[in-house]
Amino acid sequence: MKQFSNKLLYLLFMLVLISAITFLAIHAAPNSFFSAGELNPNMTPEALEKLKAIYGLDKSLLEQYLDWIVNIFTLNFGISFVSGAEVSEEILKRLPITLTLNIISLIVVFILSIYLGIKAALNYEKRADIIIRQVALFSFSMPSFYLALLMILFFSITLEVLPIAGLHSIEPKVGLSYYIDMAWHLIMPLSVMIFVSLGSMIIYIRSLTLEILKSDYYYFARSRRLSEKKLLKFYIIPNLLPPVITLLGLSLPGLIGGSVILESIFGIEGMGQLFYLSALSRDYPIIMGILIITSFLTLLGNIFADALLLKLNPYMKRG
Amino acid sequence: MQSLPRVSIALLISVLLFTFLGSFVYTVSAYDLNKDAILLGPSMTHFCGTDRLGRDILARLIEGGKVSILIGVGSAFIASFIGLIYGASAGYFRGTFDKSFVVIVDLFLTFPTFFLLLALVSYISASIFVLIFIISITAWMTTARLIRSESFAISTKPYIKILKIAKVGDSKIILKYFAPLLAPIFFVSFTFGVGGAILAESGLSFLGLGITAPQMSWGSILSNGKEVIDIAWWVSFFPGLMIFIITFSLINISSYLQTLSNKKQIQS
Repeated sequence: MKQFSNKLLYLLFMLVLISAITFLAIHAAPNSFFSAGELNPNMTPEALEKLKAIYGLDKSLLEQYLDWIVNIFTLNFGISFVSGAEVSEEILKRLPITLTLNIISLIVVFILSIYLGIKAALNYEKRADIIIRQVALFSFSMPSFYLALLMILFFSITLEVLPIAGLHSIEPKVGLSYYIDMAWHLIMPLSVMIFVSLGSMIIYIRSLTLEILKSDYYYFARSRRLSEKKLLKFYIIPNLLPPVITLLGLSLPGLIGGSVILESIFGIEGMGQLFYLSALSRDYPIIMGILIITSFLTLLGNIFADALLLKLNPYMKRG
Repeated sequence: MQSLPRVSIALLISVLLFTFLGSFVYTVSAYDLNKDAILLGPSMTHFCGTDRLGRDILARLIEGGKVSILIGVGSAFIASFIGLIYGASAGYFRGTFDKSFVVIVDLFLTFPTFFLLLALVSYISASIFVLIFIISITAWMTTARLIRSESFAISTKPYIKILKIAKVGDSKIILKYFAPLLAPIFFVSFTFGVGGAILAESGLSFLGLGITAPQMSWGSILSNGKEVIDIAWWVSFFPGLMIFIITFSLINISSYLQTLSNKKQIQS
């Protein structure tokens, strides 16, 4: 338990460090929202000062940072420069869809890659292994946007079976058919997301399984003539899970980052798209808010992974 | 299994020849606008068709390839070099140096890499060097981690202890006795990194944050085609295919190198 609380403290420390760095980086950037010429050129300097005072930009950097940190604890991330809406509102509006997409694809990738990775390792250097490995390398080197464009080209433009973009059909639907319609729109984005992240997981799991197969305990178990099923259930999978769960916990930021591209192609109004638009218009409060929330989610994923590992560890049960 | 890297190497060499020598054979300009040849499909005069401004796609692929490959190789080189030096030193010095290494790597890993790229690019307007710099500082962590764990194993070997007792300088030990042993991992992650960097660059270009006109990369050509995808598939199809071919062959070669170095370990 002490280890766990240490880890928690370490993660908190990480979060503070990340927020400080992003804050500094953003304020050290040469062109701010106000100097970018996005405001009326006829504006008097006094008015500009007043506007800056409203956003708290006239204070010293340290003061601004401390204000921001204090506000975060009350879930107040400030106001968007562009839309004038609360940052937390803007983000909360877009968080569910991005999280849903990521969590679904994470689960599918987890199951598929464990199955395929173990299968490849058990058939080391045989046909199944070579095919699975080629598929994995193929998925790894496929740019997500290219695959998305090809799928749009094939399924939406040539065959006209799947919707090209967006989340809902133009005519509004209610009740159950609303969700079916949404699922229909999510088929393409989800399959691209899953396929693109599958490759590295398969390769990783395959090499982990090969290590297990080489080990003494596996050799001993096999010489006891245990059945394949038992070997899989008691020797391979339990030893495979810890590193895989850790990796999945770590891969959350990459997935959300990767959804920037996919969300912009498929016109999904999620966090990635919001981040992209805010980065283009230098809407700092939103950029900061999203960075902090994704870092927080990553840390949460980490903690969750650690808790799960403790639960899975048979030594913990005994003690 | 033996024939696969051969195919990949052949593919890689032909892509390299295409981009670096192609302009001597195929002399059509990549920049000339032509109002009579807007969005023409692939034909005998324009093998890969033309774009919205009537520019020849094949010529643009040759020009853009140079930028893509330069960025890929440059940032992979810097990234794996940082990884090599930093990872090897962490494994060698241990103690506080290693602890700070873990904190910094964790910091970079917790940051959503692509967000970091986006944030950086939106401040600094992108040129080739800026892109190389930005991609390499977001890509060195995996190499560094691999090399660190390997150099931990090396640093416990007797001959390193003898060198330490003989008061050989730290930098000399790292460069002369550590680096050669770490070379296999370095090359594996370098080839892997080139593919990854080309993908990262094209992703940025796809969002319109990569290289700016009149310069071009495969990613930016593809990005120009995404608005006309429903009437002119060839504008995006061919640059994407180039990106895919080069990363696929690089990653295949990298995986082959990895199996080679594994085999060597088992033999010794």
